[in-house]
Amino acid sequence: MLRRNAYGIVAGMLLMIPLLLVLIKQVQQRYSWQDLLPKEAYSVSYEFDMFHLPEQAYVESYLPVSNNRQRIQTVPAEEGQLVLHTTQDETGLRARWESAGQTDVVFKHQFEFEGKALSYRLPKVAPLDEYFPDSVEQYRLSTAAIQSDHPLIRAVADSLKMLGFGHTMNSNYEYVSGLANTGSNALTDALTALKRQRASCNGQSRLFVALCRAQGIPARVAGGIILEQSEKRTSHLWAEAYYRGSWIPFDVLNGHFASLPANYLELYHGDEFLLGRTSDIGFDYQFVINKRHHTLSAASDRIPMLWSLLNHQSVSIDLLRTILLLPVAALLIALLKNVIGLKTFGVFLPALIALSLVGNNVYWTIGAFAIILIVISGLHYSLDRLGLLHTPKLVIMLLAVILTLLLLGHLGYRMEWDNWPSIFMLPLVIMAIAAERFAKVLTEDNFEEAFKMLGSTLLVSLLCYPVFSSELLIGVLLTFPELYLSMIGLLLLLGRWIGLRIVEHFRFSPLTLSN
Amino acid sequence: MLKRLFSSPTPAGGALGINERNLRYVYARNDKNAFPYADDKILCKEALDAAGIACASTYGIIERIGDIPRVWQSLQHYERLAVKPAKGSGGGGIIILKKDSEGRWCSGGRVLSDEQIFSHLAQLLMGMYSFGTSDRVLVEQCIIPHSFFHEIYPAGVPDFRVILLDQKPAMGMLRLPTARSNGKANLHQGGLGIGINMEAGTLAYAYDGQAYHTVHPDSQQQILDKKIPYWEELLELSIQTAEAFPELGYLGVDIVLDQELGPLIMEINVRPGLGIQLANRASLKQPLQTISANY
Repeated sequence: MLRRNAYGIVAGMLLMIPLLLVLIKQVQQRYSWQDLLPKEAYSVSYEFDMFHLPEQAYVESYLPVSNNRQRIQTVPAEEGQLVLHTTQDETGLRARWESAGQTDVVFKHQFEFEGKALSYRLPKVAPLDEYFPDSVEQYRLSTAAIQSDHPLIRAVADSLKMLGFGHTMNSNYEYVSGLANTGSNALTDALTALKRQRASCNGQSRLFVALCRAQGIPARVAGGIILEQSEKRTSHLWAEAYYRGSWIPFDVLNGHFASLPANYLELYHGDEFLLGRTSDIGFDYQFVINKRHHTLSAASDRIPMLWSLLNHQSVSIDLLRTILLLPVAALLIALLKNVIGLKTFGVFLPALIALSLVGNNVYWTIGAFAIILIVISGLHYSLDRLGLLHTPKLVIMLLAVILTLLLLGHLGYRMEWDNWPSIFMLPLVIMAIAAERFAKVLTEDNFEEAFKMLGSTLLVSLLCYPVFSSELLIGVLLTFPELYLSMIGLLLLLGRWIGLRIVEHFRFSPLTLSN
Repeated sequence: MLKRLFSSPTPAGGALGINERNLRYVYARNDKNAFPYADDKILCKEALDAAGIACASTYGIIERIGDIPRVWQSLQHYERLAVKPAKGSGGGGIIILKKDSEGRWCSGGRVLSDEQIFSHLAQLLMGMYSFGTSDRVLVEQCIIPHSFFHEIYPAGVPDFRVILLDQKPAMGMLRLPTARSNGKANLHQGGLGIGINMEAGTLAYAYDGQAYHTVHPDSQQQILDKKIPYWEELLELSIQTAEAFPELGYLGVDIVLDQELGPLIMEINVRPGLGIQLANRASLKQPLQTISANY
């Protein structure tokens, strides 16, 4: 009795003390969930290759600045290359790199970017602004490429103008998105875009801005780079409209209404060029972008040690997902099995199935999984009748999994199902194992029992899925790794828990009648 | 809070659940090293024979494929044989062979050639029904169910299950096949579980997974209060069996009643199922606790 009590006390302390530590840490540090969520960060590098340089030459561009939706950390440049001058004006932070006598220069400017998505809810019927600060007055004027006082543009703008800012933006947006996209990067001015009813991304943005200006709304184009794991040369233009003190972003081409995704690097505002240089020099450039997960948030000085795992480029978030969250999913499975009483094929199989759902369409994957399992176990049943040995039979079943996948993939391709290739992402070996377990229950037990177990295995997989898809949980565990000790404490208690499983309450309910 | 976590709640008639069974009885009372006796029918029989406990006579044991012709030759003077994989479960791979009037071996009404029988024996040896592990084959006496069962339902092989703790019987049940269970006597395969009044040696209600009956649902024969023949011997045999496996403090003993030989041990089980509580309409907890307290 004493020993059991001592066990309970130790396990209980193992459960509670780390939780208490977490609480203390949280009270001290006041992490918000935003702090704990691993953020996508990018390392961006402008790479310039300049050659055949005269005595004096320069390259001009914009450098990003930190604001409420992007955080920039510049990586110090190597010494002895080009001389950097920066000037800040209303368009952004202009940078000018000047050569000092070299004839060939390979030059790099690197910075770290961390962004967050921004999205505005526009009041549909709130009236348009009538008075604007002086600083935005220039963004109501007609220019050479944004011909907002041209009669054609004015006529269209008038027809699109509605009561209220939100409705007006909506009709401008719908109109511009109705234009055909040329897919090119050629410069297009607003009037040409309107006349031809087709435009590149910069033409669409200029027309959107021109329509706003014609309606009396200050608007401007904004330029930057869409960040993704790549080496690219293209920059991107979108539009911004001024409303009650804020510049609201609109990217018609990529379908962002009053919102901007987290991976948009903002560089400048106004109808400017991203790159300028001395003419008649040899010049090549590219933007080298590396994506990685880490936090660069304001809390960076109080980031716990384990976060460095995530900051290290060679440890991907998907690797950490498996390592950090597998025990959490297994704990969940232990609770579902020993407290609820769900029966599954093995302990880890549902967790592995759930892991394979991450990044795929869940219902489609689970559905395909069930179909394949049933097909395969039908096959198992007939192979059993033939009297085959275990291992060759298992390999035949693996082959059958693959053939079924190929067939489903072919069918998906022919019938143009959405994301049919994701069927090939299904974990083959896990499916073959699951099929074997299913078939084993089918032969040892009966049909009903096997399907019940298949159903509850898939149910448990579905319940584990939110665990694996939660990046916040990864952040929480990196910040408070002591939670794992709590989990051990909880499992020690669960390991000695003798209560009836919930399904047993139903199973043994006939006993209640006699008592 | 901890105390509440550890004391089990009492709904569902205070039934014994899997968690408690495993922690308090299966793990606590049974030595893992003795589990092979429950998993391997040949090991079990050897131990039973050594202790002089009544069980079906062993006619032959086949260890290797090369042994098949020799052992098979030695079996030819028998009229009926039960062929079982030593490590099979759920009855898979078991065949009953009977000689017909012309002396040919038949199974399920079908005449089998020696080749067919050899091929089945070879499959058993290669682990077809033992999930990947190679296996041995046990050929033993074929049980003829006691006429007592025929009065209730004339098909399949019914068996008794007695659960013992510290060599003392705690609860018993009779498992009877039904039309729905396809000859099998397992509760969750549609068989009938019949509770046993341990003191009186009589049958109680029959549970079919949904309701309790006083008669067999197929034959309408009376079950309730029917006196079990050989009950005292049957109980004594279960106790002897438990004593033969002192490392297994908590076990289920499966016993058949042969028309001529009376009670015979079929096999032992180290994780006997909890459905026995449903058959008896009573929790296993009380009898197990009573035995523990008096031990």
